[in-house]
Amino acid sequence: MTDTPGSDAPNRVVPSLGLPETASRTRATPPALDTTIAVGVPLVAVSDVDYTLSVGSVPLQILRNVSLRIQAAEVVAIVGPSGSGKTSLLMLLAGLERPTSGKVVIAGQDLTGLTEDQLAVFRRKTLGIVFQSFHLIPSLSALDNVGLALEIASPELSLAQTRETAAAALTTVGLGDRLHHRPAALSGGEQQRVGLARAMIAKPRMLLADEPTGNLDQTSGARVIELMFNMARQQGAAVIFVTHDPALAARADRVLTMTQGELAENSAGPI
Amino acid sequence: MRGIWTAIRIGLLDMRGDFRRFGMLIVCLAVGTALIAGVSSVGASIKQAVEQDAAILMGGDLELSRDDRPANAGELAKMATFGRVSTVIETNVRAEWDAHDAFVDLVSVGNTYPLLGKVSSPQLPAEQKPFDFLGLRDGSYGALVDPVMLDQLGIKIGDIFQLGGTPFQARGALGKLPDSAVRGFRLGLTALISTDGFATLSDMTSPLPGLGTLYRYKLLPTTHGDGSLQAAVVAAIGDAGWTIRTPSDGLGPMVHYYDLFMRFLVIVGLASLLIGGVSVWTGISAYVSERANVIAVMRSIGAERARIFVHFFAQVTTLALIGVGLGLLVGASIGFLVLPVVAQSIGVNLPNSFHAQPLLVAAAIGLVTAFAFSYLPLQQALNIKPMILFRSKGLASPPFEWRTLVGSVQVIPVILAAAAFIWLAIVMTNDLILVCAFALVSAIAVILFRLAIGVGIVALRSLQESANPILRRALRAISGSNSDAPSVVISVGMALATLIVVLVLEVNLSNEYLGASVFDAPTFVASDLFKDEAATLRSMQAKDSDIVDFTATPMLRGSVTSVGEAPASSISPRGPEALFLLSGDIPLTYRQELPSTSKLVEGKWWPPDYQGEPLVSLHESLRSGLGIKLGDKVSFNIFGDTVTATVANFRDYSWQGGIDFLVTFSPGALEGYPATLLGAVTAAAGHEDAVQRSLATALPDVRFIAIGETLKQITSALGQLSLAASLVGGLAVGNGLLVLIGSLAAGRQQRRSDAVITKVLGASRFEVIAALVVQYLLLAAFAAVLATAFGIAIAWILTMVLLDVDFALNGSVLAAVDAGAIAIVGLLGATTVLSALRTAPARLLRAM
Repeated sequence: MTDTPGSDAPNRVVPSLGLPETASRTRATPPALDTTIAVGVPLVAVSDVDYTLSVGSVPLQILRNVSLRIQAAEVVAIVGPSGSGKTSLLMLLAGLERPTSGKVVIAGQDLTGLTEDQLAVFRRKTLGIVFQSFHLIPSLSALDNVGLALEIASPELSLAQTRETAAAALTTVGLGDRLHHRPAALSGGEQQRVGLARAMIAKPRMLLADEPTGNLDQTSGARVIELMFNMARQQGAAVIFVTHDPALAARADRVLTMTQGELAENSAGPI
Repeated sequence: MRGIWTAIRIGLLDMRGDFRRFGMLIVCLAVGTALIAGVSSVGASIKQAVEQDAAILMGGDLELSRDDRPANAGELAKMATFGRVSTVIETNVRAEWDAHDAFVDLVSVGNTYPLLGKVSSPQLPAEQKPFDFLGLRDGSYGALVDPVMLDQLGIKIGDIFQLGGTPFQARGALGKLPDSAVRGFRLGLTALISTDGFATLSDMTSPLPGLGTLYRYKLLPTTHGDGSLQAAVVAAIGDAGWTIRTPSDGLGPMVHYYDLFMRFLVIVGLASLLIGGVSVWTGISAYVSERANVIAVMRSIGAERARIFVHFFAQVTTLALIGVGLGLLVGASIGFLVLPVVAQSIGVNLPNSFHAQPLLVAAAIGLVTAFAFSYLPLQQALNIKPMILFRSKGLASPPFEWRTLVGSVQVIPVILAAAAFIWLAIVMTNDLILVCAFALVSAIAVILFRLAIGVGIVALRSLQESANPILRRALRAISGSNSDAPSVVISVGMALATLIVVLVLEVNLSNEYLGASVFDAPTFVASDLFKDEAATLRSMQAKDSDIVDFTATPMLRGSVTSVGEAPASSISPRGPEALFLLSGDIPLTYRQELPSTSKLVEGKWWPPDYQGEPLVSLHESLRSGLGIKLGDKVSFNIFGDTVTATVANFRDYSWQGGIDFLVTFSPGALEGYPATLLGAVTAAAGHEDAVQRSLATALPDVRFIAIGETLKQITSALGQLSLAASLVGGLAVGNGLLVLIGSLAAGRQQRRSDAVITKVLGASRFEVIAALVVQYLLLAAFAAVLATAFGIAIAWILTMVLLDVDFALNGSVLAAVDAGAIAIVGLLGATTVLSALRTAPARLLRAM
């Protein structure tokens, strides 16, 4: 069990990615959710969370009494053996699953009481997700895949503004010349860079990544990671990622280890 | 609002590359819509024509008819007080010239005919009435004759020929009578003469037994007719022997047959949309399953449920618009193409006209169907959770939560769509009971199939596993938790049940149109044959391969003296058969076996060796016409003797058979009386002329009537309708097969994954495919058993209640359809994984 109240990570609340100002200035905040947080208040506050699944009629406890604090712009790696609950913790942080007990507060918002649609609004404004298997929409071009996320997050933007911002994001990840390619025409590394641009386009406060290099070769993986850290740093976003790669974990501000559903902090560096 | 447009834009972009898989869905919607649009358009044209031209079609605003006698002077005077009266006498006689003869449908008209419309003949001057044109000239009355008769007799216009034993001059070729639509089916080639000419006929003997004379009087009131005219005429005439018809009920049997056809088409149209709906359901469900990843991605980046719904609803709406649009185009074209054929068949002028309302209704029904059947899969899509992105590549869409849906406001659109569908169907069919019954039966079918497969799965789970690995794998797949068995059984079952209903109805409709014996109808008939002449014909049949068949039926004449205790003179008959029975001497026969042209309606046929008390078989219409029932006694005067027989059965016979007897006795009752024979000769196709020549040579004193050509001519119109019914039925069957194929789209990706993994684990391609074939053969067979029983039951109800025709099953066709459907499902179940099995597993595993 790990708590990090005294993290010295800076509280960066004004993002700057070098994207067109139209996008950053017009970020819409849904009235039902207040995702602004005061300085000093942790971005993520997980308290005493249990998470149990039912497998048939047999309950299977995935997470046990997990508590966690993550500050804005902090980079946290979660490591641990398969089946230890890493991905489940990530899903709880993304509001994709609900804890059996305990509380998950992200950006001052208690997720446990939100409806599915409120959670969707929360996600669009607060976090981006990078998946191990990329999960791009195969029928859409790279531009539309990235633009879709911005359209959802900022529906007030015109189509031209959306496309311009999406194109800039793709250029940032080195795909300015692949805007109109569909996922099938992109390599794994390129797809993951599109996924990264999609995750960051709405300037989230937190980036969740589930083994982002798990399906990539070393070179491609390294490039994606560099981009991920750079973009997060520029935007002031916290990064929480799951990995089996000790070298990658070592680049985090903190490393958390999951073992049989319990969380422990390993501040000693690489696992 | 902009959010909606962007959602629609992305939704449409997201369809790229997926149109091929929606081909069947579009076709199913298009076929259903086309059928409804076509049927409704043609129906609207007929309705319009009948409503506008009904009086012309009947030749007056009222028609009085009877077949036992003409109107007397008093009755004619009473009719004349209401307006103008025109006389039409219809009978059958023989026409002869040289060695040729023809069987004639003779129409004799008075000097006011026609009151409405015109007789079409190139030789008839426009300003001249037929009565005047056909009057006495150079010692002969004139006749307008069917051009076929000119050929058959070998005469030309202006020649003299014998008509009913009297010389007549062929004054012109007869095109069409203005009231032909209400004349019904008439045996023989039509000839038109004047009533004055009719009075000169010297030989009124009917060429065939059972054919009588009908006296019709068309009445065109001086003041425009209203509802009280009929009652006033009935009161004035005061004789129950008259049949009185108005234009609304006066249209002939052809219109009745067309009405049957329309009802059949309506059923097929509704059924096609239903199975089109099932196709939408399975297509969208499969699509949602395969797009689970996209949905999850959209959810993960913050899309709300409404956005997801709009995204996919835009796609479904696009597909529905394409399918319905195509259907409307085809349906409207069908209307324009078939109108002339239908018009010719029913003898009603049907100008090509555009009817917007039927097309709008068809479009609305198509769109509502698409919405109703896609709404639930789309709701299912909203329950897909983004967490699957972390756990797998998707594949699984969550099971449908019926209980949650029923208890939530989300069920309201489904209820509204169902209500809209029913309302539109009622607008289309104008038949509340049919539509409600159809909706109820459809709902019952879905529940029945779902319950049955549920019970089947539970039963499978409780059984001991098979020792055969292929069967074991197939049964496990059926009873497994992720089984697609319910959706396959429901969709295959619904499609197959619909096919069976359509096929059974189509068979029954064709039987009604064409009669079971139409193709066995004789080519020539001759009455009053002697035994030696019959023997000659039998020996000719034995030697001459051109004569396919010869039958001789004993024929003698007698009159009914009493029915039960009531003397014949005291009975008021209703209907033409009852009137004919009591009209005096009528032809009688006796038989050991039920004629092939007849079928029993009530009672039992006697054993071939029956020698007991006299029994009699009567035409089924006499039950209501005389109020007679099984076991009643009927007495006849035959050669001065009174012969009393007990009614043993009632039977119906198809008029297309050409010959049959209203009254048939059991063996032993009439053999002692002198009888002649009614002979029927069937010539080999294409050898009719040769047979006619050899008959004339062998038996020069016998007049053979070429009835086959006449029957062919009459049945050709019905044949067109029957063919149309078969074509439409075939279209529906094709539509159903598409649904069968489409039903396997659901779970296709899961099957491919399972197949690849099974192969990687060491199973051979044969084992993988065999297990799938067995799995889907079993599911299809299960669905087929249920669907066949259910479909036959529904078809029986529809046949008896809606079409009101006799019910028959063509077992071999149904068995073939079942076997075909089972084979298709079994093979297609396997083919969905063939491409996966042909690809290197490593590539697929990477993609999974």
